[in-house]
Amino acid sequence: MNKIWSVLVIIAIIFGLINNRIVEINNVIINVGEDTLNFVIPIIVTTSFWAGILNVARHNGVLAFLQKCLNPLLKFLFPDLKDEDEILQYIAANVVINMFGLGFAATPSGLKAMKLMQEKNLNKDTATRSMVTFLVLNTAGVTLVATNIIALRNKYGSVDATSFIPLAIIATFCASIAGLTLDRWWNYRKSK
Amino acid sequence: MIFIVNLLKEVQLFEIFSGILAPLSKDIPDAIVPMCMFRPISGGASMAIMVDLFKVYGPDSLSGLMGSVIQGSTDTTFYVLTLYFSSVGIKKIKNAIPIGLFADFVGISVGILLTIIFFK
Repeated sequence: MNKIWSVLVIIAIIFGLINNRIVEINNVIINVGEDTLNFVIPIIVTTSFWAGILNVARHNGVLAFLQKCLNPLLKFLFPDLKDEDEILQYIAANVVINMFGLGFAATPSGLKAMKLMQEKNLNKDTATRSMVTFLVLNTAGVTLVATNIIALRNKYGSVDATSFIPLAIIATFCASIAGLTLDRWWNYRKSK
Repeated sequence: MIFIVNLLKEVQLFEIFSGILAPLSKDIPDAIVPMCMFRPISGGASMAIMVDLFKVYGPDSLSGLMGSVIQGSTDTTFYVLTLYFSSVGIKKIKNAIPIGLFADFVGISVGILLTIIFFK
């Protein structure tokens, strides 16, 4: 990852020199601190709020209820883990928390699920089918409340900060379906 | 990441990126193209571009809305795969990358289409 960034910086600077845009490069270097601060603060504020909501949901059982609702779906998606209730529980927690757009809060349960799957893994350096399915579900996962985006839209004066949400939900839903279908088909073709 | 995005923008490399795909559709604002390219690689970078769209065009403009939908449509595939697989020491990740990118592609395309249909 760091390599990609370094290469991009070098390309940008060389390109800037050729293009005679040295003043702009200097301005970027000077202003980057302020830009970053403006970027991070609204995110921190709303994330804290939603993390609090998440905690309430965990204590009053809403989270557990949502996880239970997901169980049949997960059993269908992960045929290899049908009898591994503990793993499924962690996966469910990860998916549910991701729905609130709280990626960082979802990571611990996700890592725990990976660890447990790795314990069952016979071939330690190769991913299992369930792991791939889980990560597809994670990266393409349905986000119902994209917390950060709402925060940033508010900050930049949107009249209706949540107007994009229905479209985003449909798009993320399509992405999940597409990813999971391709994953399924890939496994199906291989098992034949 | 914000630094790099600003840098790439200021030296006008983004315009070259968008120039490549510009003939595809007149309905897609130029600034969206670099965002789509960054989305699967870095959530921070694509979000920085989204903020830039908000600054230049406003969050309720077509570009601003499209950026929001794209940002919300998928998660950062490369980041998630690296984090989770390296946490348990897996090196051969089979087909995870093509599937993840395919899902991103579908999510972003659907997002762009929907924004054009509903907000234009």
